[in-house]
Amino acid sequence: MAREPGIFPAPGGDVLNREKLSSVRSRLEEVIRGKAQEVELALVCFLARGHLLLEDLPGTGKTTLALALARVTGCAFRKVAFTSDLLPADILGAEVWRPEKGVFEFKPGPIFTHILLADEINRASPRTQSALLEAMAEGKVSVGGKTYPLPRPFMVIATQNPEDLQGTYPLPESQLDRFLLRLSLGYPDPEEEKKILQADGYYEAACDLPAVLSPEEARALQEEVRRVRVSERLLAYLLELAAESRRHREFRYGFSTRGLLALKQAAQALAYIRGRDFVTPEEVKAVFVPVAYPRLLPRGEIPPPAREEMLREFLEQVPVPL
Amino acid sequence: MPELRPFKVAWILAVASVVLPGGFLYRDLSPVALFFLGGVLLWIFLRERQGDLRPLGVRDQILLLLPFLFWTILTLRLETLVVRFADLLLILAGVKFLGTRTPRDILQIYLLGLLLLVAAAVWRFDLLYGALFALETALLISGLLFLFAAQEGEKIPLALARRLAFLGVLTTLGVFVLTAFYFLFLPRPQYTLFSGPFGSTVRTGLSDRVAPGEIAALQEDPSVAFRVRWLSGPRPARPYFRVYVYGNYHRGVWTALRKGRGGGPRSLPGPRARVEILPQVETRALPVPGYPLKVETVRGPVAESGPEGTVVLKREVLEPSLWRLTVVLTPFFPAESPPEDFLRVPRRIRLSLKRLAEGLRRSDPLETARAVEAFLRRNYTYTLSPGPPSGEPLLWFLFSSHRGHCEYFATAMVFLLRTLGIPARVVGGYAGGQWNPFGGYYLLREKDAHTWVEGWIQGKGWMPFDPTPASGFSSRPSPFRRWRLLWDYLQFRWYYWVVEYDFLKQMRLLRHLAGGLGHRPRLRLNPPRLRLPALVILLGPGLVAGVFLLRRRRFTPVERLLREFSRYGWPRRASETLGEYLERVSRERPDLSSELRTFCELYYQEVFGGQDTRAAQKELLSRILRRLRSR
Amino acid sequence: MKTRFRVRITTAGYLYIALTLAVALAGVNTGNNLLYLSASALLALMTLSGLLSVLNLLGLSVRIEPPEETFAGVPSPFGIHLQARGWPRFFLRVRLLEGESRVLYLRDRCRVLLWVRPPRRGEIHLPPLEIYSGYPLGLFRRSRFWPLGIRLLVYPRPLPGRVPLSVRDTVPVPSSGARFRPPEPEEFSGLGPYREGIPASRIAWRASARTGTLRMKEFEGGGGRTLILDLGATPSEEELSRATHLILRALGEGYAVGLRLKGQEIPPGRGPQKRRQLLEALAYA
Repeated sequence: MAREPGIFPAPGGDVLNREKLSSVRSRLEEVIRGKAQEVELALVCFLARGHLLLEDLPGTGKTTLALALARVTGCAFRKVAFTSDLLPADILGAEVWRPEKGVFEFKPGPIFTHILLADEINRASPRTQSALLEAMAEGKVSVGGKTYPLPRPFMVIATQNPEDLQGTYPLPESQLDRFLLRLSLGYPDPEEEKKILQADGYYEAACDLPAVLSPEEARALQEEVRRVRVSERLLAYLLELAAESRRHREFRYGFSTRGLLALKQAAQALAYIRGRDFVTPEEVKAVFVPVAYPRLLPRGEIPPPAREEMLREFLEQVPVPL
Repeated sequence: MPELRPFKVAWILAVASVVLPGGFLYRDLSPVALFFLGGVLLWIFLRERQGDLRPLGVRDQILLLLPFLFWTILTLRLETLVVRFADLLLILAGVKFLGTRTPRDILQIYLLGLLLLVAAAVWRFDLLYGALFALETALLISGLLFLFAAQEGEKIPLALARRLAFLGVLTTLGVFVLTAFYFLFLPRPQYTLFSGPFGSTVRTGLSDRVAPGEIAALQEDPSVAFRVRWLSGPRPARPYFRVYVYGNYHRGVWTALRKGRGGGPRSLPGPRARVEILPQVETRALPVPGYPLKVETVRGPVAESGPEGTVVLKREVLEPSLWRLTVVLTPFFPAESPPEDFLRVPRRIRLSLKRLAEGLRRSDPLETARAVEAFLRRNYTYTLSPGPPSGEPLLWFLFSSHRGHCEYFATAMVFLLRTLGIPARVVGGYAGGQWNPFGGYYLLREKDAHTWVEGWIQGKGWMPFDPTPASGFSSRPSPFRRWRLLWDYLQFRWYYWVVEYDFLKQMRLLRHLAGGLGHRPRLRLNPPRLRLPALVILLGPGLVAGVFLLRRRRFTPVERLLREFSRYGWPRRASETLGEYLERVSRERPDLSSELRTFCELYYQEVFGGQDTRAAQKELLSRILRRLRSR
Repeated sequence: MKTRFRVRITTAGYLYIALTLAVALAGVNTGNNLLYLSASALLALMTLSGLLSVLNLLGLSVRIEPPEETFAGVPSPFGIHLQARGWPRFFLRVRLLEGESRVLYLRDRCRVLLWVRPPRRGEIHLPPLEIYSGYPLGLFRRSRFWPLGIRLLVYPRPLPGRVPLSVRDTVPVPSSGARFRPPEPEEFSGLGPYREGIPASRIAWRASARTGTLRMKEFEGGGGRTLILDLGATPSEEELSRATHLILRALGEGYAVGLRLKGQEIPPGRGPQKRRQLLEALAYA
């Protein structure tokens, strides 16, 4: 958006942070080609301290996205391929007997990282799933009566294959709420796909990305996002959306208060990315479908694109405050 | 939950509220306006099915309207002022249909429908107008109800919509009841402020001249000419209502007597009857079922006794009127001017008739007249389409065609009698009519118009004869006869209680009600008090306009922007954010896009960011509007 | 409750009145009865619309459910219970200060939530609750006012930010620079209503979902830190606001909080009772 000096007050927050943020964004777009919107939303999720659910077919660049995000934010990255025989301890870690010291010592699992890619999360048993999701919600791990805080920032990127459901344990509805938003990368445009072929894939490129931020800076950004202003009028719009969703017959449940909070936080993060220090309905509408997707579940079996369409349609029914 | 867009319902009702009066009045309205409206609706329908209906901007609407406006101004005449105005309303509605569909637009279309209804009241008085009135009221009330609902919620549950529809019907019924009450009891002035000559388009079937040869074919016209209500007195089984008496025959044309005031006797032997006459046609004389003794004008042009027992009006009747007559039902009419005046026969006719007439002479005038009547009835055929005559019409009828309508028969009998020295004259009026037991009145239709003969019987007076075989009232029994009578009765009630309701009837009703309550009414007409409502009505609009101007709200820049743009055919949807909306507008007007984006940002700064950018918004808005109008 | 009515005429309403008068004038002018008829119908509709709008607001009873805590300038949810006797009501709008909510259709009873932002701290007298509607035709807007007679104690607006050092007195002093470190949760003492300024992690989601209102876990602890705020004799509004925020936050994180204000002293303590005592002191200051 064109900016005329003098008309707009300078955006709030640290100017340097914003510079870095736009650099983060452009770096990400270098390796995730032709998916500017999805990249933006992934960044929203990161800044709003949420967790991301990626629903995609294999080979659409999920790992590249997670890795690239970790690299540019300077965060530690781990990937766990979820299988049916994976136990909670394999993720959280366990207390092991140290004969030389004569004590039980906690050996942290792969979850003790900044960004965790939980690949094919629906292949793990419900027990393992719930262990992970609990840790996600609380930001700490309890093993053997002791609590171990997870590093910050902490973000889980879980992936699911929406097609191949054989031998999987679908995530229960109550757990879905723990993800801030749900994304689907999908296939790239033919033009972009050609470029990917020419470049021999972008995975290596993602590994070589320089770190633009440090984890501390990332945390500071997350703090700033929380200070993005949410006006009364916008709050009224959010509440109207919630009330409307609870009235809607096609959804099993409407927004929970936590869901509404997620919508607010995501909108704040997007506003921050867009250089605003306040939220407008534009941002709410832009993040609505990914945020609502894991929360407003339809009554019948509806394929994902139709579900997105349904959510968009719902959004078109709620009057926007001017 | 199934839902419904009340706005859509309001829109459909808006279309109906214009189409309905248009359809009702199609006979009076200009085909140009009707075709235009029909074309517009068809176009909208087709476009909407294809899904690419784009609303017209205000400027285009005005451009579309201009030729019609010129056409209206060019063809304007005083008599057709109101009808042309209605045409224009119809065209205006068509243009509005093509434009945007904001609540305001729909309200305007309702207003157009209402104005059409009101305009039609100026030239349509029949009961069908009543039906139109009822239907249109129902449509407009439901429309307003749904329009209001649309402003409250973009979509409403179907159950609520059903309730609203029911409520619309209920409200309509309530409005009817209240309307009747207000109509009957609201104070009304005794005199109109100024009455204009708003013409009626009904043509009369009976005329003050009878020219048998000029009519090659007659069409049976079932439209109503008069209603004659029987107030008291015996009722003849097959009455003849006299309207005109024709005395002079010149070149095949009879002209009605005009001169001479009723110098007849004020009392005559025979049963008396009191009747009320309600006209439906433009006329200068009234149908009288006997000899008039007393003529009373209740409403309308003054009626007075004319020559030879007719009743004539001082001017042609145009407005709803009512007269009350007292008549004597006598078989013989008294002579006013000397009977010898009715003996003239053109020479050529006298010569040709002589032989035929002499063959019909009997011992006394009465017998002779009966013989002539019987001769014509027996030997000549009645037809509505005798064809164009060759030569003198009467001689052609008598000696070559032997077929004709009542005017031929009456003319022939009159000249046969006159040739034999018996004074005779042609009388025009209505024969028979239809007795309506529901309302207690005779229904005189145009097709009942008839001419017959009166012959002078010495010592008794003028006696009627009807030489026409199967004359006039050949009533075909119809399976719907009863229903028709009922409809006409309703029509009559409509006229009596609605169209012709007036100050006097109001007073009578009030007195009647007061009497029913056991009070002796003390109603005295107090002119100053009656003028007060008129004064209020005169001053009211000015007051309202003043209050309206004083209370006008100031709009914020964004409200002004939205209003202006929706006038250009870009209304904002409720679920659109300002940014989305302005982006949509920018696609139509790329030249404004950067200003619009800046405006949006400024507005957001104010509303969601808590910065005061009002002044900048105002400045930018005026720039945008200038740019918008410059193209 | 003694209520009163008020009518406002909308733009469409003025237009309608003007039209009625115009038609009536035309009727008087021409003596045309059909114009009289039209004018009567317009008048009848106006009467009926007025009647319906009164009926729509009659037989309504209202009960207000103020929130447990209200802060100046912060929207708080006021629950309004509406009950309609007899016939159904349409298109009501409920308004209290700037909080407004719509009821499309009311058959028996319903509850609406109004987000009201009290204008200032201290004891305020709530204006009457207004229920209004343009029903049935939007020509006139009829309002009915219910005087609430509620005196609401509004706490100062919580304002984040550092309280100037001169008015802050913590015992013992937390390590310099560091903000409040969350202490270990202490004894869980039960569930309480959600209050402004409490971190979201303390919200008891399950209980909240069950009851429909936000509930939070309450802790009461013995040992731990104490914070005593000294606001002096004449604290500014801003200082009061910042103090409010600080108190809420400190209580939420398990501190025992005390207050010195205008010579009055509130000994440090925890729990809902203490919380109310502290906030009330600030509200009346």
